[in-house]
Amino acid sequence: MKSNLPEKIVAFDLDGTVTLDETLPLLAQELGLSEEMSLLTKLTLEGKIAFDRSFKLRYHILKSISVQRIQDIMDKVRLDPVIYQFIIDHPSSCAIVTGNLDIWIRPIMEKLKCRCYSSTSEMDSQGVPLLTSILDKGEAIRDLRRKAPKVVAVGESFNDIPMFEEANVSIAYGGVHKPVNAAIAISDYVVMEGKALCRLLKML
Amino acid sequence: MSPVENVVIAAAGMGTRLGAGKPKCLVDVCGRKLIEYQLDLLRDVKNIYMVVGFCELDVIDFVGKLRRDVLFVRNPDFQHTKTLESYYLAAKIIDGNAVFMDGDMIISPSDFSRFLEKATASDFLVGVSERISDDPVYADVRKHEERLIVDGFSYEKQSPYEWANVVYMPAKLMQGGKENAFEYLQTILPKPAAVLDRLEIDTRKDLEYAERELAMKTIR
Repeated sequence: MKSNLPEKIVAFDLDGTVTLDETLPLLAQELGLSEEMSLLTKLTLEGKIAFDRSFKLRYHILKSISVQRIQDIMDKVRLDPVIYQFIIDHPSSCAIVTGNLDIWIRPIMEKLKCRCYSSTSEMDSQGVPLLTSILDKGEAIRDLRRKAPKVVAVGESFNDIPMFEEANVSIAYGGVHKPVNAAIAISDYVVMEGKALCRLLKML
Repeated sequence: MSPVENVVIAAAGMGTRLGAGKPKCLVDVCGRKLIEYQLDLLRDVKNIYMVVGFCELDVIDFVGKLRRDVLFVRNPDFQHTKTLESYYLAAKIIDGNAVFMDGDMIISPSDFSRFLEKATASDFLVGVSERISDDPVYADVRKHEERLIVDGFSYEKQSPYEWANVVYMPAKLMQGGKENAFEYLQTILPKPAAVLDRLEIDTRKDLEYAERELAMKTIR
C-alpha cells in the first residue's frame, strides 16, 4: 500500500507563536492574578525557572477556574492570521507542540484541526482537571520524526530549545516577543513576523 | 515593486580589517549605519535574506526594527568561512534568481536600479566598479557590442574595474566552499557585467574615503 507520508511537518509552539498573547496570564485575569502570572510566565520563557516546575505551579493556580470559563476565554484568544491560515491549509503537515494543558486549549485546537502534543489531564469526579503529564517537547519532535522525513520547529522561548535540538530545521520566531538568545543561538533561521515565517516554511 | 524579488546580504563577517569592534553593517558612516543605506536601497525588494554571524543578536535587533520581514539566515561558522559560504546558506532555500551582495557597502541608488533592470533581462549579471577600493579584486572586463563582459578576477592584473561584490544569478548556481566568492565565480565566467558606483568599507582608509565622498556628494 502506497505510503502518504507528508514530506515535512512543521511543529509550532502555541503561546506567543500561533497565539498573539500568552494565554496563561489571560486566564489568570479571572483570579486577579494576571500580573503575577505574567511574571511567572516571563521568567519561564527566559529559562530562569524550569518549565515543568513553573507549569505545575501555574496549573495549580489556574485549576480553580472552571473548565467552561477557561475554554470560553481560550476561544477568544487571538491567533496570528497568516500562521492560522498556513495551518488550516496544510493540516497534515502541521503540529502544535505546547506545554499548555489539553483540556484548556481544546477550543484553539478545534480551530487549528492539526495534530497536537500537549500536557495532559484527567477529569476528577468534581470536573476539575488533574495534571497527569507535562509535555516533553523533545520527545514530541522525536515522535514527529517518525512520521515525516523532515521536521521544522518554530518557537521562541527557553522551553522550545529541546524542540530545536531534535528537529531537522529550527526557526526562532520573534513575531510576538523577541526570541530568547539561547533559542536564536541554536536556530537555523530567525524571522520576526508571521508572513515572513510562512514564506520561509514554504521554501523549506 | 523591484524587478528583482530576492536579495541576499552577507553580513556575517567580523570585519577584522576595519577593526571597528562591531559587524561592518552596523558601522556608522556620516551618521547612518551601513545597513540603513542598504535597506533604503532595497526598500522595493520583496524578499530580503540577511546572513548573520558575528554579533548576530545586535544585527537582528537593529535590522528587525527597520524591516520586519527580513529573513535572517544564521551562519554559525562565520569565523571560519568567507562570504561565499554565507551566500550559499541563503541560496539553497531560494527558487529562482537572486542578487547576492556584501553588507558593507554604499551603492549609488540610480546605478543599482539600472543594475536590477539590466539583470532581469540577462539572467546573470556581475557588478563591477570603476571606483577602486583600498584592497581591490580587479575585474578583467571587455566590451562586446553594447554590453560588458567580465572574463576573470585578479589581485595582481590591474584594470580600471574591480569586482563590486554584487552579482545577480540563479540561486541554484551558487555553491558553498572555503574560497572567496570571486574565486568561485571565476570558474563560471565569462558572464555579462555592469558598472555600479559603490563605496566598499573594508579598511579604515575605505571608511575615511567614503565619508569624504558622501560629504562631497560624489556618489549619486
